[in-house]
Amino acid sequence: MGESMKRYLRAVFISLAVAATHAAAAQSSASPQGDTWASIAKLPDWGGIWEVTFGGGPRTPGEPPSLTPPYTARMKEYQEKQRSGEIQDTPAANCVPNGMPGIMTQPYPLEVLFTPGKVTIVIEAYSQWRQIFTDGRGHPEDPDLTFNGHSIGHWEGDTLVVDTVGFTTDTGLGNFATRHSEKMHIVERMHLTAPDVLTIETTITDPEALTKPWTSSRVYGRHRDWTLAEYVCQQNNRNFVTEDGKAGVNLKHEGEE
Amino acid sequence: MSKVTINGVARRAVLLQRIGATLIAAAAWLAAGTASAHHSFSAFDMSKESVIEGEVVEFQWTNPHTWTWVNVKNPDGTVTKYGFEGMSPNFLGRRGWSKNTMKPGDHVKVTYAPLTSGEPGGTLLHATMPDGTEMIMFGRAPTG
Repeated sequence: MGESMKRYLRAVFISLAVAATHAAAAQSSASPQGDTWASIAKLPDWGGIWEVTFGGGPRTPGEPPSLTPPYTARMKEYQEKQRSGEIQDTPAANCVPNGMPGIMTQPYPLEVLFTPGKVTIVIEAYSQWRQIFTDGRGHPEDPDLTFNGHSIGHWEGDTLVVDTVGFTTDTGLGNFATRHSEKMHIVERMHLTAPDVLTIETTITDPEALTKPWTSSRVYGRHRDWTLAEYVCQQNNRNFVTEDGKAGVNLKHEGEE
Repeated sequence: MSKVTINGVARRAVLLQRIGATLIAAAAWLAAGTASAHHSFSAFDMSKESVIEGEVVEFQWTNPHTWTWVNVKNPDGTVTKYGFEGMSPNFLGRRGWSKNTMKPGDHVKVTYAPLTSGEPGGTLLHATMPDGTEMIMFGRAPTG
C-alpha cells in the first residue's frame, strides 16, 4: 500500500470516527428529557409500581462497602454493641425513615412519576418521596442536609441518570452500623432491562467514609395492577428503641393498664 | 382446605403455598437482615416456633404492623391474652389478607416466633382459620 493510500485511509478513518462522535453527541442531546408533556410521551413506559423484595431480586448488595479506617472503627464498635445486646435496634423502630440509599430497598414498592422537568419517586415505606429535577438545574451550592438528598437527573437514551447530594448523617449506608459523611454522593442509573424489570445501578462515593466507589445493582419487578397503599408508621407502632439502643415491644392491648 | 372468597377474589392461590416454602422464604428474607421495613427481630426468637389456639379478640389491620390479639385458655381455666405482630396491611393486602381475615370470636391456631422477653406473644408466622384455611405471613406476591 502506497503512502498516499495510507494517508487517504487514515483520513477516512478519522473523519468516520469524528462523524461517529458527533452522531453520539447528537444522539445524547437528542434524548427526550421529559421537559414537556410531548417529550414525556417519548420516554420509556415506567408505569405501574415496582417492588424490589420478592419482586425481582435480592435486596442485599453484593460486596460490602470499603470503608476508611475511622468508619471501619465506628462500624466495629457498633457491631460489638449489637453483639453484646447494648444496641438492639435502629431509629426505624421508632418510625424514623431510612433515608438514602436504604429507602430505595424497603420491602414495599415504589412508583415513578414523570412530569415536565421532574421525576418523582413515591416510596410506600414511611410515605416518602424523592424529587429528581430534570430541567437542567444543578445542585444548590450549599444544600440542606436531608434524608433523601437533593437529586438532579437527565436521560441518556432510555436510562435516567440521577445524581444526589446533601445527606444528613443520621442515616446508615445499607445498614445502620455502616455510616457515611455529609459528602456522600450517589449516582443511580435507572433503566428497563426487561419489559417488566427496572434495574437501578447505584454508585456511592464518599471521600471521608469510602476508600473506593461502592456499586450495587437492584432489580425491581413491575406490578401493573397494584396501587400504592398508605403507610403511616405511627398509627399502631408497638416497637420502640430507646435513645441508648434498647429495643422493646409494647404488648398492652387497648384498654389495658 | 376450603376455598374462601373475599371481595370476589379467591385467595386460595395465595393460601395454598406450602408452609415449608414459606418458611424458607422467610428465613432467606430474615437472613438478609432487613426483613422488616421497620425494626430488627431482636425482640423475637426466630429460631423457635410456638403454637397456640384460642379465640380472636381483635385483628388490628394497622401500620406498621398488623396485630392479632388472641385469648388462650390455660389448663387451670384462666385466660391469657396473646399479642402477635404481623406484616403491614400494604404487604399482606397484596398477598391474600384483608381486614376481615380474622374476626373477633374466630377460633384460630397461631404459629409464631415467641418474644424473647417471655411475654405472651411473638411475630406471627402462619395461622389456621376456622375453615381450615392457612394464612401465611411471608409469601411472594402474585405477579401482575
